[in-house]
This record gives sequence, structure tokens and C-alpha cells, in this order.
Amino acid sequence: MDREIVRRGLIEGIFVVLAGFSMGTLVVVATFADYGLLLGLDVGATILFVALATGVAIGLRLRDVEPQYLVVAGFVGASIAIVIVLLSVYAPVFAGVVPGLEALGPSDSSRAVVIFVSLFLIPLHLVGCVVGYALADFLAPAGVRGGRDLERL
Amino acid sequence: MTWFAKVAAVFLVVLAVVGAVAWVNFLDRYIAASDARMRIGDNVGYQSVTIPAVTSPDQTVVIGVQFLLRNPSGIAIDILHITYRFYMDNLTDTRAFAEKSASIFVVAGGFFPPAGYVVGPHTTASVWGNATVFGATQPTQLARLNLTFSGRYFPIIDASLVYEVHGTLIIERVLGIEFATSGGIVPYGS
Repeated sequence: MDREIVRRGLIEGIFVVLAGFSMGTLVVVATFADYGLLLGLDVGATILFVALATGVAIGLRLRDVEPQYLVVAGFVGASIAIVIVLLSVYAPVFAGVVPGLEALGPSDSSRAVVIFVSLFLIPLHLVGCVVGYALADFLAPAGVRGGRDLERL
Repeated sequence: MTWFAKVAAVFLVVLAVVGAVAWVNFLDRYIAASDARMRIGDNVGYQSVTIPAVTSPDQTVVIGVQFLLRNPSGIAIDILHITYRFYMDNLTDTRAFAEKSASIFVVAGGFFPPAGYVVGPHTTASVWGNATVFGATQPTQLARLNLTFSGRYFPIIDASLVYEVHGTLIIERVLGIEFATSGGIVPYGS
């Protein structure tokens, strides 16, 4: 039984990491569009869509866990995304090609603002998680619905 | 596992793969472009300066300035233009350059490729930027140009480079690319 819980936890943990990774990478790619990248994405739309969509997906997957674990998963996912944004913004510094972002000029140092903007991923992702959780409860067959069935009370 | 949990799993995996591909591409370009922006300024200079001998007061003189640009980064750059101001130093005037620059300025010139000049990653480009003095209509400039000491010209050039990191919207300017010679330049054709 415990082994099954651990296995489930690991699997869902992987999906939480994937959600965080997706959010972080796509937000960074949208923000740095002037680098002529593969994808041309609108920053605002990307933050909204990717945070909500991955949140809904996590909520759908964590249908049968206690809500507090859902919130923890949401925070962890959004935190991973913020770490990826942070690492990406400072990538030239970590790669050793510039001593600091300010060396690239004031417009580039202001790109650190994207780190602040990425903080909006946390509430949006949590909203997505809750929506997905509720949606899963709505979509699930009656016999396998979560602990909110009044007859079970 | 319910069908929507499987759909959610597939969605997350697909999104992560798309994000990973785009992110790797971004990191590669971002680091290379930052590297280029940091190092181009130290890798642009002069290869040669050619000034013909002035033999008549209405002569049209074409000054040639050859620039050398090394691109040490892993991303190509497009030279949008190189502009310069050409001065002919008067060695008898001992004032600082800033004070005498207006009186020794000859002409402006540059290199203006119509659609950008691509310098590939880890390659070197050599381009000519010409300036012309029309003696018939610019006698003052021609007189300033035709100033030699021991048969040599002592030009001073102050250039600036404007380039774009290839395939991006990042445009940078390198100011103060200066050329001065202590040994002078022998006029060609003299």
C-alpha cells in the first residue's frame, strides 16, 4: 500500500515538474521574442494560457488527493517555473560571457523585470489547479467521485 | 486512471517537449548574442588607410579606409553601416584634438551595404569604406586633406559601427573606433 502511494507520488511529481518546466520555458521564450526564436508568442497570452492550462491539467490528474496537496503541487510547479525564468534571464552570466546583465546595457538589465512578472504564474497556476480539480470532479463517473459526495457524509 | 487524467498527462508532456525545444534554441541564441555584444567592440579596427597624392586643386580624391571586423561569437552579425569622420592632423597645431578637430576635419565617409553585410560566426570580414573630396567644389576640404609632413599624411579617423545580431531584432552601436598614426601614411601615386 505504502509502495503504491510512493509510486503514485513520484509519477504525479514528475507531472508537476513537467508543468513547471513548461511554464518557465514558454514564458521565457515569449519574453525574449526579439532573439528571433522558433516560436513567436505574446507574453501576456502565454503567461495566462500556460499557467492556467498546466494548472487545469495538474488539477485533473490530482482529482482524488486532498486539496492541500493540490495547493502544494501548484506552488511547487510555479516555483520551478520561476527558477527556470531566473536561470534563463541570467544565462549569459552563468555561461561566463558577460560579467553582469548591466554590461549589456540598461534595456537588458530591465529584463530582470521578467522575473517579477513570472511571479504572476503562482496565483494563475493555483487557479488553474482548482479549476482542474473541480472539472475532474464534474467529469468523473459518479461512483469514483472524490470525498465531496453528500451521500458519503 | 480516467481518460481525462491521460489527456492531461499527454498535454503536459507535449507542452514540456515544445517548451524544451524552444528553450534550448533560445538559450543558444541568447548566450551567443550576449557574447557578440560584449566582444564585437574589441574586435573591430583598421586594416589600412589609403590616400592618393593630391596633384591638382580641382582633383577628386577618393579616400579608402579598410576596416577589419572579427566576429568571435557563435552567432552571425549583420553590419548595417560603418560611418566615420576623417581628419588630417596638423602637427604644427599643438592643441588637443578636441580643440582643433573642427579645423582639421576633412570629410565624412563610410560603408553602407544595401542589405546588411553578414559576418558569420568565428569569421573575419574586411570591408572598405570610402570618402570622397571633390576639389572643384570643396577647396577648403582638399586643402586640409593635402597636408603632409615629410611627405606623409597623418590622418585621424573616428568611426562607429552599427550592427544587428543576425536573425534577431537586436541592434547595437560601437562608438569611438579611432585610428591615428605616429609614422604617417605615404600618399599613393606620388
